[in-house]
Amino acid sequence: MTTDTANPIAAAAGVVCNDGDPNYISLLPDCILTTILSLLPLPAAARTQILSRRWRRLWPSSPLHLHDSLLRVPTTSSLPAVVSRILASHLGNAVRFHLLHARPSAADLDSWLRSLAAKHLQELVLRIPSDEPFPLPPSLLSCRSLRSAELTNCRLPVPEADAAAAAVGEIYFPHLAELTLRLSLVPSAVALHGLLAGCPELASLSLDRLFGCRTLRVRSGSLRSLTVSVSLTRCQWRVLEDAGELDHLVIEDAPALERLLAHDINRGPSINVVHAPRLQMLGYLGVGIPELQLGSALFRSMCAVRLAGEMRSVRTLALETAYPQVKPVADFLRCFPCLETLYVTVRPMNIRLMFCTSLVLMLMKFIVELQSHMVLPQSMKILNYEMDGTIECLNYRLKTVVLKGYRGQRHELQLAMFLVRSARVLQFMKFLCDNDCNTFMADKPKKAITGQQSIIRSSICISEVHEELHQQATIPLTSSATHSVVRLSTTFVGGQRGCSFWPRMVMDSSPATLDGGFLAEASWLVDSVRAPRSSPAIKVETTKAPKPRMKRPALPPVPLAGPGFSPSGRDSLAPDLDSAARDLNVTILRLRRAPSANVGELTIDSHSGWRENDEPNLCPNSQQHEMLGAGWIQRFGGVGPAGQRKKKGVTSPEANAKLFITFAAN
Amino acid sequence: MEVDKGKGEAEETRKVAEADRDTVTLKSSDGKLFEVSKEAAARLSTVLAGMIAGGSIDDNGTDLKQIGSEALENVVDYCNKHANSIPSAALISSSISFNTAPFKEPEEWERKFVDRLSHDALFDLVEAANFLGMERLLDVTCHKISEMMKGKSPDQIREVFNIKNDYTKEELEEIRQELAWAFYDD
Repeated sequence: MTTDTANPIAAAAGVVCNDGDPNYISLLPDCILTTILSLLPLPAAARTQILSRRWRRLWPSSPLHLHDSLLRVPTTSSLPAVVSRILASHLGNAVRFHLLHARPSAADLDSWLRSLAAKHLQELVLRIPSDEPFPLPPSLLSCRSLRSAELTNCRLPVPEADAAAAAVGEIYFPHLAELTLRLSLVPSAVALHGLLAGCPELASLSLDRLFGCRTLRVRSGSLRSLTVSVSLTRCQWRVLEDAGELDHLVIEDAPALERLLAHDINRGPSINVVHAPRLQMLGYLGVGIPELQLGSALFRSMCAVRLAGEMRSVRTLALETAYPQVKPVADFLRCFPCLETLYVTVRPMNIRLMFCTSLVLMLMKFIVELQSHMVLPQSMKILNYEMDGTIECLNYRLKTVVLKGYRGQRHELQLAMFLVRSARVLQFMKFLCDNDCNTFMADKPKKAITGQQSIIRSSICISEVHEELHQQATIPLTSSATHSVVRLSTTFVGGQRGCSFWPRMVMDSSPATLDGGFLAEASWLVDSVRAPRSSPAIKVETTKAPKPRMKRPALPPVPLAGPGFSPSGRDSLAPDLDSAARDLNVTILRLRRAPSANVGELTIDSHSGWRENDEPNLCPNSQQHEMLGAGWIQRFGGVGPAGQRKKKGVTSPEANAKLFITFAAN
Repeated sequence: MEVDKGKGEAEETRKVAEADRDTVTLKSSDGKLFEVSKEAAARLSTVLAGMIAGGSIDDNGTDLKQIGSEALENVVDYCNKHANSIPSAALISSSISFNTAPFKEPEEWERKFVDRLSHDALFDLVEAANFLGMERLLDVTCHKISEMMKGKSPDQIREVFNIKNDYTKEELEEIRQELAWAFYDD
């Protein structure tokens, strides 16, 4: 125990209490105490001034983190006064200044920014609620210590005709590394160029609905990441609309640029990449981008006009489309010879835009026809598309493909088939299924009810969504996805075992779900994919529900077998799945199921190779077990159940299960 | 001559041994010795790293007169036990994001490490971390102290840390008025 003698400062500083017990915290050096204060919420930190004289001068010199959303005030209208007060009483440096709720007057903001400039502010976020872009005072330009700035709904104070001013250093943010301009207005293109020229350290620039500059020419030696997006709908403010939105982005010279990111399929600026030798990541590119020029390659509305494989630095490409087609995707692949990862997102358009898109698509088809002097290839022809010439990245580079928003529609299947067949070094393919399409199906019950169709109702789905559907209606939902996979798989068993897929299956609400047929089908599909070449792992996954409409507790994951799993009724089949899966070396990655609804989400993986001659290691516990196991092996080994299955046609889940067992008995 | 030669040899071997040693010995203000891995010390403490690089490490115990044995024990404990799980200071600074370096929440074991300390030990450790330039340990300990202050009224804080209110009533009232904005949520 240290005593007063060991701490002579304690006595000297007069922080020894009456009872002789020193308060050690007050003995800590100022720099430590101010650090501690900066970790407290602002009001709590300021309140420490009331502790004792020693603490009086600590808060005013601690690093300031001011978030106006964390200040408690009786009414928002009193916020500006409080902010002014804080800035006046605080004497130290400012680290953060976030303004999200306060509605300051122009004079307030001007004096704040002046004061913050003197405090060497590092991070500024302005999202001032206002009916039109809030004019920022010129004092913003004096905040030269800024490292990061996010300006939303602002009118930038950059002097209009003063490009020369930028050159002589009037606009100069030597440390600014990150800049976001959202829904903001610049006086002119010249002004914006001047601003960018004045940020020699700028590494990340995000332009989210920028107005006042129609054509932006980027020349920056420091820029590493550039994000651009434009507004989906017409702008609500006259003043912004008059100024005109960014519609042409030219990357003239960006030697350090690694990422060029654009959002939104519906509209986008035309993009022209002239010089970006280190560009690694590009996307999302969608039909909303009217013209896309990558080196000498040129695309109009995602349709190739001129191809060139110059972009050798790009490793990751993301495409966004409403109707994925093989040709446009293949064309893009040609342009990026070293591509390793491809994302294709299918985003169904909203109805209003549907019409426009269909026009665009018709136009696209027309162009394609003109170019190739032939009708759009039919399904199998599309598969042979790669015969037209080799695509370098497919042969040597492309390792990962992610299909997002996959609904299993025909053109989606074709695209997936094309990729699996032609990507020789593909290691991983991932299907991400959107929930939206379920509700989309639910909107069209007439189409969805297809009781007569011979569809194997194998299923994979997100339980939350399914529950939601239960609430809406008990319509057995089927989709073209299920249909097409059946068709596809039989085709391939009959003919070449080239590839086939396990796409997303839309649920039906009858208890059809996790029976033997499903996994058999899934693993069989995986097997047929694996057979011809190296074995890409096919992973079926569902994306998380965007936002559950009703609040309901998340369903706990139920393991397929083991503690927590209660075999009862139909469920008793499930453990067999597990053992069968083990036998077949098909690893079940994850299963989530809704206890009441008999649906779930299943993820399977098949890294390990199962060979036809492998003896199943059957569980001797039950006769049924054995039968099922044998059945699995039969099917897996290609004894030919698929054809039979097709003949029989399965309409109900019970039949499905029965069918399965029948096979086993065979 | 013979003796001198032997002495020289001994010196030589001692030097070789010193170069090979992978620990450093630290001496607290009250003369206790602690061993800590050289690699961990250099990685976690900028001051020790400088001393190791500059060759000012004494084999018989580098004097750290400002640090008591209890605090030094904790420092060494922190280094030895957890050296492997902490990215080096150099690593942290090289991966600085565009943003102003955000404070990374203490990990579970770091929490436990500081939770078991008494107030005195904690404050001594903060000072030791500050003196030795151990950024992460300083962050973790400061975080712990700020946690102890969070959600407490000034009176409660005074009680916890044994701080004596040396204001007059008038002064107190004045400060309270000045800080009215900070008391709205009371």
